[in-house]
Amino acid sequence: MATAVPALSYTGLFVLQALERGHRFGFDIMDVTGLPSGTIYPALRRLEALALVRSDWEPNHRAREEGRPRRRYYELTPAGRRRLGEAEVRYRALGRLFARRSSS
Amino acid sequence: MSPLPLALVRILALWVPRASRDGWIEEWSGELHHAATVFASRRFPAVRLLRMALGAVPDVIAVRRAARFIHRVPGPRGRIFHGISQDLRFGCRALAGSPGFAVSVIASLSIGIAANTAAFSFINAAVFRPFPGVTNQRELVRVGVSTRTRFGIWEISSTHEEYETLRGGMPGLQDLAAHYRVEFAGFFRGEASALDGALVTGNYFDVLGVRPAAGRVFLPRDEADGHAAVVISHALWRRWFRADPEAVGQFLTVNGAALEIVGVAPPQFHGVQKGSYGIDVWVPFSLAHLALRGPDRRPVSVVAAGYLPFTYIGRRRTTLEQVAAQAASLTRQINEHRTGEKQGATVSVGRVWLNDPVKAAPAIVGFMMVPLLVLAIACVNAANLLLARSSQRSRDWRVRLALGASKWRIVRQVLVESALLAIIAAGAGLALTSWALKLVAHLWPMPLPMDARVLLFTVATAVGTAIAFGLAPALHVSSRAADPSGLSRIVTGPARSRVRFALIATQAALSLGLLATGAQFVKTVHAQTGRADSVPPERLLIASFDLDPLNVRREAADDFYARVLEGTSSVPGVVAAGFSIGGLITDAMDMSAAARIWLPQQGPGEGKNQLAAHASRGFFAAAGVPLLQGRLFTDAERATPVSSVIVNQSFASTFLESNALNRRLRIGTRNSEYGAALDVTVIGVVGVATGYRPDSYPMLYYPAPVAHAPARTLYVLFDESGRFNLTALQAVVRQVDARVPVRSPATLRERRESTGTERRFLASGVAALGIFALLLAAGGLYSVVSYVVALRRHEIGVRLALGSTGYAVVGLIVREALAPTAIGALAGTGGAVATALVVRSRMYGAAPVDPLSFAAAAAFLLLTMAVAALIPARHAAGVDPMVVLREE
Repeated sequence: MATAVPALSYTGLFVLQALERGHRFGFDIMDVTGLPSGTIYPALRRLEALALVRSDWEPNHRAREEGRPRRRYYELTPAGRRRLGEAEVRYRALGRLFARRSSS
Repeated sequence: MSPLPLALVRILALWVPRASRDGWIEEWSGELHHAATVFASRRFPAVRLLRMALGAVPDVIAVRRAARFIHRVPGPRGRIFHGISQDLRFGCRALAGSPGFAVSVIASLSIGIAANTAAFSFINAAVFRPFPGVTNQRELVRVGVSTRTRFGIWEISSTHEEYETLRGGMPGLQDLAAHYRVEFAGFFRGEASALDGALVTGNYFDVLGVRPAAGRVFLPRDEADGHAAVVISHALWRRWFRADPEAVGQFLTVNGAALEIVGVAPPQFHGVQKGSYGIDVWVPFSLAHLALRGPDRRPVSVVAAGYLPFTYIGRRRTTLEQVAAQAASLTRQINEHRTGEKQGATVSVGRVWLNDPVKAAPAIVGFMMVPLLVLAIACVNAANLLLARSSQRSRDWRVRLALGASKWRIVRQVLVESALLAIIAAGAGLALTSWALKLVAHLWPMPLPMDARVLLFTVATAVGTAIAFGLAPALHVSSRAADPSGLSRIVTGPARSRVRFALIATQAALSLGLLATGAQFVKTVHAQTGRADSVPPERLLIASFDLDPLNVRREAADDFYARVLEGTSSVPGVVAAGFSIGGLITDAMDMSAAARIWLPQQGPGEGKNQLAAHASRGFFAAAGVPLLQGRLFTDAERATPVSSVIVNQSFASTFLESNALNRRLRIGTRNSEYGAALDVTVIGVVGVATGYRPDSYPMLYYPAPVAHAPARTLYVLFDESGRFNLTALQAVVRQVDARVPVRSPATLRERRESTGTERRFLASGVAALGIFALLLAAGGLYSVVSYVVALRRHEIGVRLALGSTGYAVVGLIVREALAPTAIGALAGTGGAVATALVVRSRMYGAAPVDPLSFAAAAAFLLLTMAVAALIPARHAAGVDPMVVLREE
């Protein structure tokens, strides 16, 4: 790994964890973490730039059938999964924190 | 979903690097779309959505940063942006650190910006907005054929033959369509209703480039084969068919003929006629005989109908000037076929737009004056707060200067903070406006879209606002920053600042001016609507009928009206009911109800058309027309030919030297010959109908229609029981003839309210802005005094320690705050009096300038301002001298 890997923020960890739990769209992550859109989307950009997360478009035909714009979905890269694992070891409390936030 | 969040995203997208811009927009629209469906089931969905869209602001920053991270190249202007972003972050922190200050500035600015955005969206809707549903409006031209009548009025009229000449003789046009507005009697599923409609040529929708919402629009062959087709409006489609596509192919009875619905016009399409909003049906020219009547009142085709006020719309393929030249060359050709007073026609060509922006400019400036004044007050307020705050922050600035910051850097910091405040205020203002526009949407007949033009205006206003309120404090700071000697002193700043004094005085003057002008406007509107009523306006129902569309003969019409009158009179709760012809209870002179009248001793050539109306049994009682002399008609006199008439007082005094009883007149139908007229005797003199001005037009009433009168107006006076209403009336009419629609039924009160809406709206708008302005000014004074008190804490502490009482301190502070207010109030009163005098000289019926109400407004202002100053002043009196003195 490169020497200057920026540290992951709590927000970044929330997002990674939400992605791991199968919430793949920006809005769903917002909804489940309770964090505002102005935090979630920038976090996704940062994580994507760090190659911890990758994104793709949902199939065109589905959006067209429902008469709405396409949505971009996100998923963890292997590196992202690894970073999340490391972080979870480091911050034991993360799982509890997350559970509390998403239930509120 | 409201368009605001998407518009915000599109504007922000301008800062997204080009390579990822489209994807960014698509992602945000996808997310917002999804969020809208999720939020629909939660509370405040619009607010949630807007808040979500605001997240795009940090996202833009993140996307820019991520792009740089990936490419590892600094942006070309990276250094400048770096500084700005640092300023921004510092500004955000500074504002978050004093939320009270930030909230009061944002609140006052957002009200000012919202007032301007709302006012501009009215102007946008009335002047700049293109006609809905029309494609490429720039290419459309309006072609009019008009003649100057004997009275010097330009009259638009032409024949169908001339339409063909114009259509064939203007190669600069792709095509030319004709349009003629008519009212139809519609009948559908057992319900009769009056429909506003238009006769149009088969190419009308083609020329305007209208795409149907369902089915199809007319094709040229509809006109050629005489297909019994009709296109209905989107509103009618929703009202009658719940927007069911199955409506296409069903039949709708229009003026007695069954027409097939071939299509639905797009939403809000109502042609390119200015001021017409409610067209429900379009019928091809080939069916014109359903609506057009010849001189003998028989149906005629559009070719045989002669001169009609057609409007022509063309789509040009060359320049407007070339089309105009072609039109001018056709003028001679058209006049060759014209005779008599129809000669001398002019063919004119003009652009198609709601209002000529150049001609409308003075009205726009006038209309925008008031909201701009409010924004000016808000700016003055914000500048005031910023000044007071910068006095407090001067220590910060001095430290920064001492550490090597440039003067420019400090000025820029102040400007960035003002820009930040203005941007947030503009966002809040936009939200406020869209909410306010939704509230008034049902009061206003035209659509008020928040389109790109309105957004652009708001952005421009916000930028102007930021400069206006940020510049004075910035300059103030820079001039003070030149002297770093005060570094050793603690919080400093002059407690009495001349700039602050002037600002308070200005806003007091502005808000008092608005308040007094608003009060004057409200009084004027009340002066115009308040009239003496002889019957209670909420108990007089007026409705009109027109049998002409159903092509009913004279005997059948008389029979219909007699039976409706009989049926109405027997409904419980009806005090009196009667028919007349023409709109008597309006101030408009309805010459369609005129008769030609020869006064005593007048020869055959001397008769003149005068206002006259049929007054059936019960009419005088229902409409509240009092009998002044003589008697009313007996039933025997209602047989034709008529031999007796009743005149109003104005007629008696104007034509019969106030000695009207038993005088003999000769009356005939409008423009009739002396020989065909009838000799009649005046048997009574009456006053004016309820709601009329006493000095209204001379008027004559006859006991039975003197000619075929298919259109009449019903007046029903009912008691407080409320047993008579629209439903009862409709039941009566349906029993007599179900095909006849009841047109615009409303009580006199409802009628007045609807006609006065616009003026009342404007007046109460000005008054509301005045109150807003006062609140802003009071809020401004409150915060300024608070800051001044904070600055003078030490001095106040010393005063109290030396034996001054709390009352004395409060008095001192309030007095000093009220001095500029009083000077401003004086100036504001002068301005308001001048405005009122100008308005009075220009506007008919304006209320006289009332010094008492001006004095009351000034007193109200001073009182509010005193309260605003009192609250922080009492805080000052509560200062503990020991604590303050120990702070040193």
